[in-house]
Amino acid sequence: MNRKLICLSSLSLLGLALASPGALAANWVERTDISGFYSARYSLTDEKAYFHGDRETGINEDGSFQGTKLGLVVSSQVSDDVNVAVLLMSAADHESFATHVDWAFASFRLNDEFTLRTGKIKFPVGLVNEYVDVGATYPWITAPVLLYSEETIGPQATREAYIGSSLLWEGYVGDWNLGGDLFFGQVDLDQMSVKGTLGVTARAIWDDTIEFQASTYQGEMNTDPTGTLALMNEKDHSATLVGVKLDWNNIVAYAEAAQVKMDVVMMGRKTGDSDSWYATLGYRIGKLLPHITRQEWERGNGNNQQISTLGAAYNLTDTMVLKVEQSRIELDDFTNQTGLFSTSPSDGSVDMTSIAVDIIF
Amino acid sequence: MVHQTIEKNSKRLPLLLLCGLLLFIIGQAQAVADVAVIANKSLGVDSISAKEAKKIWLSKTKSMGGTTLKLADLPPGNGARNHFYSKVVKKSESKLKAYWAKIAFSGKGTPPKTFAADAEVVNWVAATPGAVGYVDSGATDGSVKVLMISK
Repeated sequence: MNRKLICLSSLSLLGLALASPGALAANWVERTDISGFYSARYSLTDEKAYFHGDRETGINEDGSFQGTKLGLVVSSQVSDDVNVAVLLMSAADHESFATHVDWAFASFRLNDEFTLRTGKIKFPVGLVNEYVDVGATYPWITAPVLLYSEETIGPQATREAYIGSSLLWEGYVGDWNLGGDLFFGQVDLDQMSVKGTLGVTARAIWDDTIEFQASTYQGEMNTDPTGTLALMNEKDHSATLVGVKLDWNNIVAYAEAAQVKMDVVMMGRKTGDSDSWYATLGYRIGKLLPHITRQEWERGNGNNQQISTLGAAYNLTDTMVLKVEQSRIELDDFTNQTGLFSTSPSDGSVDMTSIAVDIIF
Repeated sequence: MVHQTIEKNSKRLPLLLLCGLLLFIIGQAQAVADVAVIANKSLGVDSISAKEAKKIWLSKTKSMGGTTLKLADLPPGNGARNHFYSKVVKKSESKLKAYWAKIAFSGKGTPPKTFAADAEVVNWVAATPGAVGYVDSGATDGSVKVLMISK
């Protein structure tokens, strides 16, 4: 289904390109822009159980290159008002360094304020989710996983992408840059899809210094009615997120909170519901940005987890950043619960060390 | 021996000071050179403020006078670029890279087209409807219109 939709979207994009006068003219190369990013990451814990993934993708005492990836964006301005863009990404999240289409969509600028997009579009929920794979755009090695993880057992507040359409609005009131994104489509995950997802994101940015964002969306989960996730089939999934980001003088701060609701009841408890939040504070000293982060995730089934991180990002050049982090991952009821571990860890407190280099080109 | 070395160095001192002064003057001249924001002559706007220029080069303003804008940039390290981004756009090179990375990698736009030198910007702006650029004010000619001068 996913492939069919991508093929249909690609054919639509091609059709648009062909329909636009001069699209295949000799100046096509001039109208095309290519940019890329690369992240090399290595993480190690003091625990046997895998964190944030399974045996193939997770991090444990043997170390992991999870999160190492290469992305290439090809963007072509078909006409003054039509743009077609695709992000091809190769990630070391699986045994093969497989390449996939992270997003691919066409944008139609209706006027200075409104743009219509259609195709596979990055999910516009969460302060950094639209560029969550591009490490050079934020201070952490990985965006806070207790809010941004898309694992089936995770908070599931954000999603990688959806296939559908979006109406973007952007305007100014004084020095405030205001924006809105009304989106509708289908989200495809490993073991389920969320159909009829309808949502809206609103943001307000003052002079690129402080940004406020709020999002809400709702969809219906579709799973194999005879499989392990049968309880979720045809149940509603909704989420609300609020966030603020500050980049003022040398101070960098992020704070976000998410509330996820799933219409799934087990043994009288809404086991899929969860609340998560994180807060980050950093201070730039020349090229160095030391920072601290606290993350918390509480679930309806008592599966509560916390992460505290001390990190530093150092700008080797304007386009290359070296990062190191030391985290403590805690799980309240580690004998019965797993949090974002693949199995219950042997201790309620696990230390993780990470190092990364992020490049944009 | 020590005395001779000191005497030799003291003779060189005025020369070193002169070289240093010349380098300082050249450096200052490059840092304070005026930068002109230029546009294709067909653009239906004759002047813009520094605030408007900032919005244009951050892709917040996408059209002017009913024409879609096409942006020209100069490469990092260029004197006019340093002046333009520090005094008009008010963003450091690393913050600028991160800003465009967020836009480009979410598919919401592409950074301005980069040209190697002032003359290339002037030629491209003169030949491209809707094009705007910035160059050292001494590089402008009658083929383009000047929208703003940043001192």
